[in-house]
Amino acid sequence: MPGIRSRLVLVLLVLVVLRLGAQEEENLDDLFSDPVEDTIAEVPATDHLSRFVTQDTIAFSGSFNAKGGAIAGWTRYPLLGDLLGGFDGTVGLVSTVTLSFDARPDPDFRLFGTVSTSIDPVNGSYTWPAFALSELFIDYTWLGDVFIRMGKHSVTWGQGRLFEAITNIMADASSGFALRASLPTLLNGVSAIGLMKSGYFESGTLASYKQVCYALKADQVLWGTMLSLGGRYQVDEGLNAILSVKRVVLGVDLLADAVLHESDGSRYFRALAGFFKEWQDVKLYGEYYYTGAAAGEAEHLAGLAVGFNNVFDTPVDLGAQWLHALSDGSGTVTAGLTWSPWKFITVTVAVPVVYGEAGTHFILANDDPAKRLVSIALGLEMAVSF
Amino acid sequence: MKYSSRIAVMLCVSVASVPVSAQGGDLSATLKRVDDTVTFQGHDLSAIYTIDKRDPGGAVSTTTATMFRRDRTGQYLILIVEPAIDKGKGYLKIDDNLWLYDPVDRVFTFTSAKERFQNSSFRNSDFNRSNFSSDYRPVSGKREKLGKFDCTVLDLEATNDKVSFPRMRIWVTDDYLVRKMEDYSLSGQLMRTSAIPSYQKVGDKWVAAGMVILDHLKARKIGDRIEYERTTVTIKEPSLAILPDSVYTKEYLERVSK
Repeated sequence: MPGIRSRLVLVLLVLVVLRLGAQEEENLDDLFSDPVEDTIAEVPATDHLSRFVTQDTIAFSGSFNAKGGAIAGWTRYPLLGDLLGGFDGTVGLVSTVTLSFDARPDPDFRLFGTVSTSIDPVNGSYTWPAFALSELFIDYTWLGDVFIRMGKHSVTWGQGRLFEAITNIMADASSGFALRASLPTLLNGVSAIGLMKSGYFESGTLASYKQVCYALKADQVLWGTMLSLGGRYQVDEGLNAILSVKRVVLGVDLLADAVLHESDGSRYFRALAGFFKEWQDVKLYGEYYYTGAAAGEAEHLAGLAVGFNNVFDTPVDLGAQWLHALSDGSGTVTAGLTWSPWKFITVTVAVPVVYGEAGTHFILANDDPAKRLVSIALGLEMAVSF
Repeated sequence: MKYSSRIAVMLCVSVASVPVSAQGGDLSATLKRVDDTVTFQGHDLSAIYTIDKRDPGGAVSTTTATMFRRDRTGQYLILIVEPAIDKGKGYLKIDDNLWLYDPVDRVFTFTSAKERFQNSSFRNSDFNRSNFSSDYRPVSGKREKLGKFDCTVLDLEATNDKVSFPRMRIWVTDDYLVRKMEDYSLSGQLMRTSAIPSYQKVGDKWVAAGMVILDHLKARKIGDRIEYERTTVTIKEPSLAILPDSVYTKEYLERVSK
């Protein structure tokens, strides 16, 4: 019997090998049997730059986004004997339209603006409100080497992705009027910013240059390591200085930000360290954040996020994120998937879980208006860019 | 081609081919000529790249980008034109450093230059100037027919860890143009195959007119056929127009982005 069995296995193996051998494999050698002849380009002086720096007409672009869905869950952890206790469900629908215009009449001048409006009929908003200005700025190139951007625009310093706004000490730039002058050929870029925004100037008095917020940042790459040193000062806010470092080691992005705040009677330190690794269809982020500023007590946060694109060659993406406060034991875990079955349409299913004692960091930071701790959310989104 | 017949052909070719090194050929000099043939030391090069990615048995996505390259300083700037959702994204390479620009968040990210370009089989490093003679050393060579082309086939090993693939096999025609490349991992696994059937002459140098790339790590069986992720790159309107130094800066990228 063992002999029969081994012969059977052998026959099966042969069949498998023959089956594999019969598979046709895509290859590229056929392209060389009768290829297109090599050619000589006739006019190798096309000005490709001009299409980016000048336009005869104003270019309009925009996006439409409509999100609808339902979320249901518990405001306290569900108990087997009382599954409906603390259970709550809500629905939502928000639609947003964004329009942008871009005028480039001259290679040295550009005017750009973005307006947007949103409607939320489920929460009593039944008519579209007026468009609000999100961005409006000009770009001017002075003497060919100094790039000036002036108006309402965003500025990002710092490198956080999970704790994004924490070390971005210029996060408030888009709420005011900023004048930025950049010298890209000095080091790996030097920028100076003057920022004016609400609250800096006393009404009814002459504006003083002392009330303006001044900022300066220099970038330099040394031995494959990106170093960035910057600072901002405003007389009432004090000084915020940032040192950012980034290096790629064995295909892993390693990053760190250190921020020092100094003002009358107050000095504290914030730091962020993280990594980012990307494989073919997988992305992994990790970050750790420390601050000495939270109500005089040190706070330690850590986060990890992983994303899988096109799972099993389907239009389904999976993701999970875990944020945890080491200092008080609270945190949040979110797992979700997105599925894009049709053009412009994305279906999202997410399960967010918030944990921790009352009054701890992530319990307070729970952005669910119903303050659910465990829930499941189902969303449908239509997003079109044009 | 069937597996079995392909193996038979490969065996015949191996037996028939004569090692180039045994004929006294200087393989390192060949690599240097390869680099010289496609490197624009005296000019900037700009061109429009159209990159069509076909998933195995699945959908096709197209990216159009304009590339500006300065070989003498190892710099390039790439601006995405299509699809609309990615319009304005940019890639800036200076030395071995790459910045990605996201126009939505207006953020620059400093990262590795080896990653996939717009999630296709074309890599960011494929925009680099040709640098075979510095990045690789030839370990063997032989003559082989590739379709209608008579080629020298060189097996290469990386001399540094900055390159995307530690081993390569390249097919070089007698005019020193690379017609085919196979990229291998350190363990010898075939990762990617690229074909460059035709070139275009720009000034006194050459630029690929088109490339087809198979990603062997992204395969799917469709009926009796194994299909790989296939990326077709078409390079049009190559230009030697002079570009200002400021083009290869983050500020310029931010300025010309959408």
